[in-house]
Amino acid sequence: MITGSNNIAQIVDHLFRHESGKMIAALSKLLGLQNLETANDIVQDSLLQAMNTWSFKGIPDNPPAWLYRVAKNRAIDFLRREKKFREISPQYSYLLNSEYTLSSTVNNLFLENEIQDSQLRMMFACCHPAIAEESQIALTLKTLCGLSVSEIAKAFLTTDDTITKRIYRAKEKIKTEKIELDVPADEELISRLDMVLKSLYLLFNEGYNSSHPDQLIREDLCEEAMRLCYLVTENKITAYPRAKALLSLMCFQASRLDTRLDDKGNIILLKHQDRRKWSRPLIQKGFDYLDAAAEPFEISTYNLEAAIASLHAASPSFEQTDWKSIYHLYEMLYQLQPNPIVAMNKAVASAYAINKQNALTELQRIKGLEQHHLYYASIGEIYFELQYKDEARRFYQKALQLTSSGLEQQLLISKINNC
Amino acid sequence: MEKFMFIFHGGMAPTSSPEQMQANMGKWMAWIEKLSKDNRYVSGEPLLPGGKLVTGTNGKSVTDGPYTEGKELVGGFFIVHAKDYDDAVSLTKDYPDYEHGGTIQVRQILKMEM
Repeated sequence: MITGSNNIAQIVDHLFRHESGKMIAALSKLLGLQNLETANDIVQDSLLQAMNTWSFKGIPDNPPAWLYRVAKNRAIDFLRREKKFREISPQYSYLLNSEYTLSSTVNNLFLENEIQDSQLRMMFACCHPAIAEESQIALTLKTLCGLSVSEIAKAFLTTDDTITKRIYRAKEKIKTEKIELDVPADEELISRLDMVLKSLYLLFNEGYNSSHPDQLIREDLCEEAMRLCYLVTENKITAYPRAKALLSLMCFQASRLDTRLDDKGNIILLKHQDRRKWSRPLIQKGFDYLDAAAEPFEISTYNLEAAIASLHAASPSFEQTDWKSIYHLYEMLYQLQPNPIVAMNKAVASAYAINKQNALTELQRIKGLEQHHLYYASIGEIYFELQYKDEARRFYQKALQLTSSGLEQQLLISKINNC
Repeated sequence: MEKFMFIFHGGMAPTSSPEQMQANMGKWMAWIEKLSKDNRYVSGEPLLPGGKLVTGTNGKSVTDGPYTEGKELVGGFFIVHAKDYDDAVSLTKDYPDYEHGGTIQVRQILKMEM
């Protein structure tokens, strides 16, 4: 037992949350995804027991092992009581039917590499194409990241009710589509992997781009997305270059997390950020994963976005950035992903790679961003740099009308005042 | 110093999130640590839910229970050293479960007069 002073410091941040995700995955593999509710209940019970016991008696030497023992015993009780192994988990029914192999089978599922495998399978199940995107993310956060409905609702600035419905709809799909913890084979693997990565990127961006007032919640979302993406890159079957590229991209972005707001909580744009405060270890990781993503050769949107992010990370200042390469990468990205947001980023890069007049022409040609505040803010910014202050003010004001985020509003108001 | 018993009723909802449970546990540990450092903490035990109710002549009747509501359920107890009731009550201010609707019953332990 770890008792006495510092016993709280001995327990890692988010231990309960992370172990909850691991145990739900392991139990879902044992009991089948159709018994996800039972898996949830067993985990909840085990955590409650840990909370009550550890509060009084101190933290055991190996907290995860303690939790797994409780969860395993409850799972075995459930299996003995139900006696419908064939329905519960066809894969293990033969082994679970005999008392002789029952506990060793359950034990094996709680070994570290088995848990990782289960988590990966759970990720693929949560991102099943039958489940709507918003439900995929909610279910992932609930089952794999151990977030409660209220915590998810808080992170997405929505109501508990909305998240409850999303999770309910996902669970209904698990039933009606008989989704199990399988990693699909061959071509289906790639398309499902793309869904998993997309969902992780959305999750990351929710943390990174959102103007959520609570910095901690945003960091949590980024951290969870990176943790899960790391699992994808660690498994032989799913470690495609695009997964490593996405992790690289997340590392580069996350390296700037601390520098995007000033002491008063105002947004600091890339060009004004203090680059000395970017996290060097994360930038290094970003480069490592970018290298790892180079082979076997494939061009994914993540490879291109990570390459763009790496050029920003490598540059000592905004002015010295290799804008020509960035513009070229955006052109390639636009080939793969011809959407107006990419077009906007490409146009902004052209302001520094070619000239500002070119950027304005490119920006004004874009269709589909008429309701997007960043579009008008970008045009305003170029006008401002060209010293057309009246024009700049007009576009900043347009952007101001379109954003509901307090932080964005503050930034735009200060820009308008500078015009 | 006299001995007092703190009996804890209710507390965190069983539907709390993992993060909330971990945070709550941290507060309990800090409380026990503080009481121990001041030489107030004697012992304490958490109790499992459920249990048996034994009644009747010679304890003939054994039933499951007590099935009280969650907020009345005894979740555990401490034994602490305190001068008097006022002193004992002053030790309860760091109890982490007030915000979860928990309550504490403070009882003095009868000393055997020699």
